[in-house]
Amino acid sequence: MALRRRARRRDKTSGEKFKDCCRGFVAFVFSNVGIIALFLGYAIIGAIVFNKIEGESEREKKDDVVELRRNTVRELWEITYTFNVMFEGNWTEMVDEKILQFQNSIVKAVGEGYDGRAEVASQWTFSGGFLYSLTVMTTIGYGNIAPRTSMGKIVTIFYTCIGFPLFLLYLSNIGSVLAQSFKWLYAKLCKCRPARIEVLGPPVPEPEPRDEDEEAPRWPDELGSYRSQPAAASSEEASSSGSSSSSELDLSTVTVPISMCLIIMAVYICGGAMFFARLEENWDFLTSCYFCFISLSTIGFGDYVPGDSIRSETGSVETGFVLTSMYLMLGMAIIAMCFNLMQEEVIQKVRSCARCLGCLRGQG
Amino acid sequence: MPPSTTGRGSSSKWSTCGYYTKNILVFLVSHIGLVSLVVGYCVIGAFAFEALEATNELQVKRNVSQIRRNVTSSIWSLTQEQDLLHEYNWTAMVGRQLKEFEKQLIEAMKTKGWDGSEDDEHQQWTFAGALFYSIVVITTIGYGHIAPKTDWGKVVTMLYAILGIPLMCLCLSNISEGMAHSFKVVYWKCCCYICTKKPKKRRRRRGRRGYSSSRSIRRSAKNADGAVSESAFSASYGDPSSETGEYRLPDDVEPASPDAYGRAAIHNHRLPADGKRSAPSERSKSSDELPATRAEPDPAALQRTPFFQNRYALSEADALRDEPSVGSGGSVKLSPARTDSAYGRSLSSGARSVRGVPAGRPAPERVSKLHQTFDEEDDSDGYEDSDDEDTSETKSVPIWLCVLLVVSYIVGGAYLFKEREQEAGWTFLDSAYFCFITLTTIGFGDFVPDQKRSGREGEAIAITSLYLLFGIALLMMSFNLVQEEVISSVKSVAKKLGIIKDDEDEYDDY
Repeated sequence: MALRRRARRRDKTSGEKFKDCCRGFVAFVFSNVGIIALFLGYAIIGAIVFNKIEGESEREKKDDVVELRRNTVRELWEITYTFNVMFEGNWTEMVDEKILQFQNSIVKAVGEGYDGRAEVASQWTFSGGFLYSLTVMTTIGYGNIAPRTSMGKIVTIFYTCIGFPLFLLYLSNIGSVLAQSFKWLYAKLCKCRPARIEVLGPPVPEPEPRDEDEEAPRWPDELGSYRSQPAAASSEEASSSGSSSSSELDLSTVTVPISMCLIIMAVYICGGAMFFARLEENWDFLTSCYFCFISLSTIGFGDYVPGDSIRSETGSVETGFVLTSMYLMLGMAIIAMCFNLMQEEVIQKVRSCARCLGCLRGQG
Repeated sequence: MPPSTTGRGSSSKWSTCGYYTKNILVFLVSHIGLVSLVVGYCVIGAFAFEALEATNELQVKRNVSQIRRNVTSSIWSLTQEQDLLHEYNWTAMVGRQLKEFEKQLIEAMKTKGWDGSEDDEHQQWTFAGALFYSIVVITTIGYGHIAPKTDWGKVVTMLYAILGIPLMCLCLSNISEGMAHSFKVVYWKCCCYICTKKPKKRRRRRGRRGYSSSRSIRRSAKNADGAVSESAFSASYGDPSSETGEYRLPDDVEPASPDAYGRAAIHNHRLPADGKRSAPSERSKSSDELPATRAEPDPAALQRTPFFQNRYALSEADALRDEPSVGSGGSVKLSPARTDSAYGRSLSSGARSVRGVPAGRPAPERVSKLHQTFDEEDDSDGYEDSDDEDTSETKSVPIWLCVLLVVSYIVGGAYLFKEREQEAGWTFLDSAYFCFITLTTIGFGDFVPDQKRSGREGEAIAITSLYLLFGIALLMMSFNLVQEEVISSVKSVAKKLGIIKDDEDEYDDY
């Protein structure tokens, strides 16, 4: 065995080194930073692709509506011109009809994706495409921008098939990273409170000969720093500890209370609401809250999207979409973190409930 | 616990009978109860939203009619004012009028929720429409073609969603778990007809499988600490077993007595080895055969183990395994299918990775020791033996079958909606696109089965709702079925790439 090992060590050729490099690179790609970069990169690719595919057809649609308007005006003029003697009744009737036709055509055009900004920058800009890609990957699916061409639809389907698992990967990674950091922060903050210190201090001699097969219930105290690991090594470590090692030890057992997680989520939604209310002129606080909630829960109606107002005739579409994208990405990560943190406590609580139920039923 | 049937006579038979019926009732009640709870919740939502939004919608419709009439009369008055009709001027004026009108129309459609028709008869916010809206909200599809416009409507929507989304998650995961289990059973029964191996050989193989499982656990325990990416992979597809574990609580049969609890749980978790821990048959014998404290296991007793407990007891072992995760919960959504919010699933899977990496270190050693003692367990459940050559004992349905199932469901739906929506001009691609977007709960809302046809409105809604609910459950089920295999194959690929190092490689470095 040892001989084999030594032989292997000598065999590290440049090929091996190259392989190691590749491995390292791939490992990095699949690490946290890599996942975020991958996620962003995929969204950017999607933005560019959809821009190319859909931008053309959007321009055509806009031209169509402009044409429609001109035609209607011409027809109205014909009516007015023909009826030299202006009988209001007849004229009104005919004009009414034309206007109704115009209305129905506009309704149809909106159904096909017309957004009312005929003369201005199109929806399928880079930022619009980026927001679209993001909504597709996260399955929010606003619908204010949607593919109209067949190619766009097919590409959307395949884009989602890959994008959604990537999004899940991103969420789980970010969620766990943020959860770990938050726990660390929380543990540090809680340590500062003098009343709690004794709990974290000298290790309580664990009742080691607890039956290993039995999963002892972890009843976290309020801090959640109950040490469930009976290993002697860890308790020795803790006894010799300064704050650092015990904090390392505690990190795995710190349970952040559910209320804190809920507060974080509520604060993020309200904060976003205040921000968007200021950004959009005709949104009140309730509407912004509603928008934030609907977006972050991935329902995504699309009735309210910052930057999508027909009143914004200028290029402010861009900033609105960009800010929305950033808000969404961060918001998803925070919610992933909260779910991550809540889960443990919820599990413990349910476990304890189950145990009670089990005890009650087991005696039957 | 049901009394032992050995040598007690008719009274024990009655009690066993009673026990089974209770089992069945619990099973039914939990599944049907949950479904009816969700249905009831939707109906309540329908009533609430109709009450809140219907009058507003009528108001908007009337407004649009008014606006249109105003346009006509303003053109008239503008025309009258001019003594001489000059085409250019008049055209420009009318053009401006029309543009203004167009803006108002679009605003009515986008911000006020106007559906495009002035007809008072065809309202969106009827009872059926509101019911459809409730379903769309709690499955997080969120089309948007119908959305609340009143303040109260928005507030109620938010509260409704907060309660409704977890409820729908729960219900769908329950259903999909049941479906996955039955699908596996049917599949393996079919396979068993094809294969000609005898039951006796299977039993012996089961015994041996105990060894392999313990070996694999030990291996996974070593690997667990190393790979960051392992957690990533397992996390992304990890079954939120805990989540479904909670949900399975009503399904619990009487739990084993507390002393054997942990053992029962752990053992149960291991041997069946595939995701379907929920199956009573899978919770088999193992638990009762365990410790010496137990009497001779009888088949009835086997069914009683609390698989619910399995999940939690093994939650740490779970996360550390690099086997295909036993998380069967089924609540993880297949990527195309977003059935209930991505959160519940992905986040619980994220949680698993968190739990796996830092916490629960003692678990794998315990588990492996435990399994060494139970090598000779007779896993008598006939289904569970896979006759294939997998090294893992998970019997997994092949991926291609699940993908085929999903694709055929989407194609079938595409045909269905194409037929129904011919008047609206849906091509086959449009229908397929609609099905896909709906089942993944993206839900753009650009294509929605038309509800404006009077008389058939309820029909369109009913068909669409049933299609999407069943489809989402199907997607969850197939995701459930493939995730184990996907994880194991991804892990093997990762090993080949060298992201996860084998034991040998690790030794080589020192």
